[in-house]
Amino acid sequence: MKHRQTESSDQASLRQAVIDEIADKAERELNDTRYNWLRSLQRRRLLVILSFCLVAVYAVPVFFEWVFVTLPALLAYLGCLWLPRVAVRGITEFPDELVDERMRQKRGHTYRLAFVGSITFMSLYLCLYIGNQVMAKAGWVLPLTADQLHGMAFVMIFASIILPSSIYAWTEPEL
Amino acid sequence: MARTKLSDDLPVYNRLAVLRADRGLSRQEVADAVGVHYQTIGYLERGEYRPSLVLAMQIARLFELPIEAIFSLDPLQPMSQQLYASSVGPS
Repeated sequence: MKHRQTESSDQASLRQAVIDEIADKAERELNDTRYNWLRSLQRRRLLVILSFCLVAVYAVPVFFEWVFVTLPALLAYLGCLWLPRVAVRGITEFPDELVDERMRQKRGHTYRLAFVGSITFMSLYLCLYIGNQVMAKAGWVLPLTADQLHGMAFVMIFASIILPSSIYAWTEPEL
Repeated sequence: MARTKLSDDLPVYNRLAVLRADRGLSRQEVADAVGVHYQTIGYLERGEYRPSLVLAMQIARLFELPIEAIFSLDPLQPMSQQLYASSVGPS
């Protein structure tokens, strides 16, 4: 019994330590001024455009077999995962308790739009797949290969991942 | 039949900027006192964000004024005009 109590108090203190650490990180990021050069509306929008261009670049080798583009595009994309996040001070990721009511409201709106965007991407993917299958059966086009379908699915997933930060970065007048 | 205006469409006017300048407080100080980010104070001052009731009450408590002296659904008169009118009184 005593052992159980000690274990649960250990777990509680560990949980509190994790919460404190996240709270410290959130405090630092929300008041961070190092990346203010990246936070003007114009620069944030350029960054969003760049991120989506890189997602598109990632799709290029799938269709044209330019394998040498894949790794640089993937690395650049990973950088673009980080940059919009920094540009919006990580607001789209922190728990509700660590952001204020305006940020929570704005974030809710952003996630609603991102959800609609992701559903749209998924629907487009399905339409493209079904359309291709139908047209391939009629002999009008060649059927998409498994690699091409996987590549397109990854592009869709990558675009969906950066969508909330991108929408927030695009729409927030001041950050 | 005319559509009833939704509460979301109604602007909320406030005197936050004037009060803050009057008390010599920075946005950061007000933000820390009411537990929000300093940019939220900027959004409030520009009328781009309408506060929750709790935040409005916290701000009213900070300035030791009733809520209706700070926030209003109608455009607010300049404070100097209102003060002068009340000191002169009806003739």
